[in-house]
Amino acid sequence: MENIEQLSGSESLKLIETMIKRAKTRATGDGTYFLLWGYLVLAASLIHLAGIRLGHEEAGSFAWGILMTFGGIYSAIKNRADERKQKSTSYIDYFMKYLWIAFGAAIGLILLICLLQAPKVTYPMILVLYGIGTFVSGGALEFKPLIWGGIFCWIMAVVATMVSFENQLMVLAISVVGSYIIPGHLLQNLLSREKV
Amino acid sequence: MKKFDELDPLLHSQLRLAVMSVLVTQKEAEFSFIKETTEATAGNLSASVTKLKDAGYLDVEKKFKDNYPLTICRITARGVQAFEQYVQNLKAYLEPK
Repeated sequence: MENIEQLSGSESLKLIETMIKRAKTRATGDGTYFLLWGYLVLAASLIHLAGIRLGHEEAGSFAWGILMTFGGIYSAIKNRADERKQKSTSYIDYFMKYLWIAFGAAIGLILLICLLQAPKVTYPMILVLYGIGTFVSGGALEFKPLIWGGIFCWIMAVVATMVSFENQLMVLAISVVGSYIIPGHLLQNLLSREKV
Repeated sequence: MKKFDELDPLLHSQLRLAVMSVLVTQKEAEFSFIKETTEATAGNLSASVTKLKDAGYLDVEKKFKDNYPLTICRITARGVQAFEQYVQNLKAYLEPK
């Protein structure tokens, strides 16, 4: 871009619009974390469910510990590497960072409180939280599949209260497909097209 | 109707307006990010950033990352206000009366 001094009014507005769009596209992530956590929760739920049905519940629930720990470590390492490479911090990135930190803390507290006091509401409560995370992220990113994914989680949270603890795992698996995995792939495709 | 020459002359320049438009969406951005996004040369961009900084529209921080010098730019509250005023004045100018 040359430092041309003369701009017409409409050229100025067009320039502003172009720069804002370009800056937002360059700065946005790629949906990786939605896919990572979506597939990890899907795998953990299905392994746990299979464990219960085959009479090995402890082995099944052990999968949660391994997969969630792996997810936490991978996310921390990737996040640190991304921050080092990142050349800008958008307001949305800054907001999302605190949203997902709060989400992580809330999940931890819910597991601690609900598993001890009221196990049957643990997964419905976690689905309510998943819904908040994806709904708010969808709104911040102006990406409707995440918003719908959030609403889908809330509906499934209600469904989860009507089924057995064992079947709540299936509800959880279906929920993450609809709220994390599908929107995550759609977001990744959209962003890779925009960045080309 | 506002006259065209009432637009902030500091912002009524292609590159300086582009820089402000980029930074208004970012909490902070490296010089290289702004250069890639605006497709400006380093020299032109540096001159524009200096003018905007001298006017109080930008904060510029120089530091080191992995032993390489790094320049980080942030729009100031005054810069945001000036940008918003510019856009308002521009819209008022373009609206037919």
